Amino acid sequence: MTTAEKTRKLTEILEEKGQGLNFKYGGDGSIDQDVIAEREDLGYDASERAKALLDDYYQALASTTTEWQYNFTRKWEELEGDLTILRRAKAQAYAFAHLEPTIYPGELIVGAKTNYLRGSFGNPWLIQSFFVAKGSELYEKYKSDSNARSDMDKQVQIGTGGGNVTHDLPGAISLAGKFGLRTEEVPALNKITEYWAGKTLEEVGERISSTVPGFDVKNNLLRTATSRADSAYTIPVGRQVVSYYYPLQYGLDGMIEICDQKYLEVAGQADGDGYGGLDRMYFYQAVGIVIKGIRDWIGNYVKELDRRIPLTDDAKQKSEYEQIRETLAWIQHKPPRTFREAVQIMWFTQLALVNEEVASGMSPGRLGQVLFPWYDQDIKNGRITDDEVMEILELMRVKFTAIDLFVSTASSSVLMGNTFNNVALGGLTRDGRPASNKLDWMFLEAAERVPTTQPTLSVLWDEKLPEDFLLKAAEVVKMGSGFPAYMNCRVGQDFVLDQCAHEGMKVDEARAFAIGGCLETNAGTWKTVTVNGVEYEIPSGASGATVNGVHFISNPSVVNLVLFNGKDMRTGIQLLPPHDKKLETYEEFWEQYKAYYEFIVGIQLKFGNIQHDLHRKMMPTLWNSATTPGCLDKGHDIEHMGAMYNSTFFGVESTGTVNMVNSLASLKKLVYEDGKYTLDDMRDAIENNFGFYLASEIGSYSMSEQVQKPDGAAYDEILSDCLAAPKYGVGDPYADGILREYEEWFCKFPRALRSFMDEPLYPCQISVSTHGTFGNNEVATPDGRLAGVTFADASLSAAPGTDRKGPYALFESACCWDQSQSQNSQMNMKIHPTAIKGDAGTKHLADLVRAYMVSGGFHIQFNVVDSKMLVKAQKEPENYRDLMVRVAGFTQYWVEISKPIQDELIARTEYEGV
Amino acid sequence: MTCQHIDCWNYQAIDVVKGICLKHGGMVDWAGESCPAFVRKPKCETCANFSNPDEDNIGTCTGLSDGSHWVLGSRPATTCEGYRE
Repeated sequence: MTTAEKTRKLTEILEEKGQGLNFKYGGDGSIDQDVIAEREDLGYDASERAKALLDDYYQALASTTTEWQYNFTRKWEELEGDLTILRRAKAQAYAFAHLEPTIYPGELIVGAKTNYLRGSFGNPWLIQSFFVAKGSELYEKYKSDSNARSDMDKQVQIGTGGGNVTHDLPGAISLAGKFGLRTEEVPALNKITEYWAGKTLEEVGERISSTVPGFDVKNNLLRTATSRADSAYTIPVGRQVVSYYYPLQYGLDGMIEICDQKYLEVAGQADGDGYGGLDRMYFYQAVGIVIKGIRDWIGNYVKELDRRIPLTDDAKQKSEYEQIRETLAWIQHKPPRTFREAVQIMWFTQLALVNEEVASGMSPGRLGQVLFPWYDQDIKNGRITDDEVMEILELMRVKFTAIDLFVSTASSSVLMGNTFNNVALGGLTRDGRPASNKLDWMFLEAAERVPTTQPTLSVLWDEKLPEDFLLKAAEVVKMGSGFPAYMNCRVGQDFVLDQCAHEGMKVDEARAFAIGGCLETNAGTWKTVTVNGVEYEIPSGASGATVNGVHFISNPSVVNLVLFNGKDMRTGIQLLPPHDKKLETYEEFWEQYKAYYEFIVGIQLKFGNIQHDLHRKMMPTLWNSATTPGCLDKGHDIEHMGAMYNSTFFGVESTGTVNMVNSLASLKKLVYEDGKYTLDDMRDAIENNFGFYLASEIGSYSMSEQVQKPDGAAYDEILSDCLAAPKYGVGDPYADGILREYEEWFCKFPRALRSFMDEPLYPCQISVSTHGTFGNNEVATPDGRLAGVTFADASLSAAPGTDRKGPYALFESACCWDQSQSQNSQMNMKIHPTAIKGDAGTKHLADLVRAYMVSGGFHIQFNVVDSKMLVKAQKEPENYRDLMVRVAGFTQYWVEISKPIQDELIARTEYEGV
Repeated sequence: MTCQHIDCWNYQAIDVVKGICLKHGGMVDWAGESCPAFVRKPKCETCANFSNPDEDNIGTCTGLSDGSHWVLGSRPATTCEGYRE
């Protein structure tokens, strides 16, 4: 596109017609539009120690290593012929036992995934096609295979700033578009990946799947960015609330004793289970082996400190190392006695979980309530002060933020480098009383002192929670970190009760729920711990991974598939069987939408079942299972139904809901009711992108920046009519009725489907960053959205510029359906900092949340930022390294977010008054 | 064998290209020249059980239970039970 060819922007065209995309709402006009408003400075400051560690984090690059891969592979090779579960356990234990210890001066809680601050690694036995080194023979082989996952990698964008290593450096290469690897390790990587070539879960899975009808459709769903298939190859576990109960209550030696005892009880016994009864002995043996490996790993830290202490000149540092050593030497074997020991074993538990398997969203759950017994005992006995506890919580913010995840570019485009360490605060106790405690409060304050992305915080909102706690949470939101998000206790509890009732879930147990990943409601349970002879009840995760199965169907894409008879118009692939229907009524269109959608789900489910079945046969997650309540009782891992609750393992995940609703509303109104246009008119307009250049040609992915082609004016009228058609988010029953009809179907049909564990599925409605990944790969849609423009985020956020009637109209639209029927719903709002200034502003924000919650909304979260700051940060990223924003369910550093998502964040309606 | 920061046991890596000097404090580049406080970090290439490295510094390790296996010479051996100088 040359300068001579540039014509008008969309916003100019709409303004000429007297209709505009309204990107601001509310306010009294007093905001100075020439000044960038900063977020409110509430005067909190981090400890010097936390500041130093945070500074190290800002300087750190995302780094990977072959350390784990080499050790695992070497031991695996040695054990050829051994039973798979035991072979894996021994290889894993060996890998743990040989991890280099990583201890930074000034730390109080130590431990890292690898020998780097932001270290992570892939598990080649799972999938390696996306990270084999360029120049290796395998690189050419995997490229020529043209697998769907690598096709997807080419179609997406990830952030290029911050710690992302996007190009080679002296001494290091860039791998998977983001991670640095030492150059000298490349030959080792080549030898490791050579060994696993043909043996990976991805390759075994694809070989087996290729014999099953629908295989090509499955791959084309990924190629066309209609649905994100093959998640078992990329992130097979996660979106889970971790349970720390066993390490905290028993310690590692105690867990090994449980395994040894259970092994003796069940060895050689079927005990009524002719299919899996004997598997229990292998499970217990395997788990015991892995725990010993983790114990040895901690022992490496003790040995390193034994080496380092005599060499340390600084007396203060030496003393701190000695205290760390004492802590580690204890928790290497025994259950913790103190708050610091509890945090340390919690931390190694967490690291072991995310090292064992590629996992996104291993969330700490209600960590303030889990750690409270040790805090309470230490404070009562004078062993610790609140200042010391606060310092530890501050440091943990940096530690959690440093956890990285080695995944493909396509996965990174969805996760944006986030690992979703979601700490839930508040909620209720078993008997329905408010569960917020002093530690929950301190987690909030630590977030005010140390502005990092992790752990992200969620308030499990209930009317019973103390007002001062809710105001404190609102105060944290105002600082602009994007958390806490709020989840409705009653809605979440109703969901788990409904989904897990057949597994024995009761009301009191439902109150133990928490959030895994960004927004995945997880079943929980209550556990009793004993600290210094005193019993406490703590909440605990109680299920394995959630929302595996059918990852992210692009709802707007299915509208277009109906319109174009099953053909994906971006790629030209005939994705679905042609329906060949005339679609003469809206009802016929809607019926076909559902038919196509269920077809897609059927395909994804079939192959998801195969993939996860293979995963549980080839690489059971043993430490995850050891810590998940139920598994040590039953003697089965989480993928063999070992957990207390297994019916949350598989779900149906959607994205782009609001664009879909708006598209259906446009068709219903303009084609079927008014008769102003035919379906062919719509098709023509979409095929020609309503006369506009593609977003990728413009280099911007928000509607306001799109540019019309010189000859594009012929579509002005249909485009403006589509944009003016009824929209979700303004309390209009026309569009809201479509949403309700969709939800009533979407929340129901998954429950008739069955996972590989023969458990019902359920709906999951979040976007993470898929609204960018899928939106950027979808042509124009009937709501007037232009090709490549990022979808509306979340599931209930209005499309940018369309929520013209304020927050309460938006809430009215969002709450037109029963949100407890879904694992989640998701709502983001962007608020100008001046709209919630001062104590009055804090109260307004808390009241806004309350209004949404009591209306039946499940989730809401906020970006508090001046859009002008985001525009400036896009132009001068080097000046905004520490700027954080809320994307959809997670907070990320602005510089590490892809441009399409940045554009969408800028475009979100800015509330200048609430 | 090189004597750079990355070869020193007083170097705690931050990422692939830099780390912290445990002796003198502060961030240092991986390739910086070592100082009198240099302590060679155990690596496979300094082990008696390591032999025959090729041009990529991939050699043979005979110090572990599997008898013999390829290994990268520059791999840290600080946690290896078979390491012998």
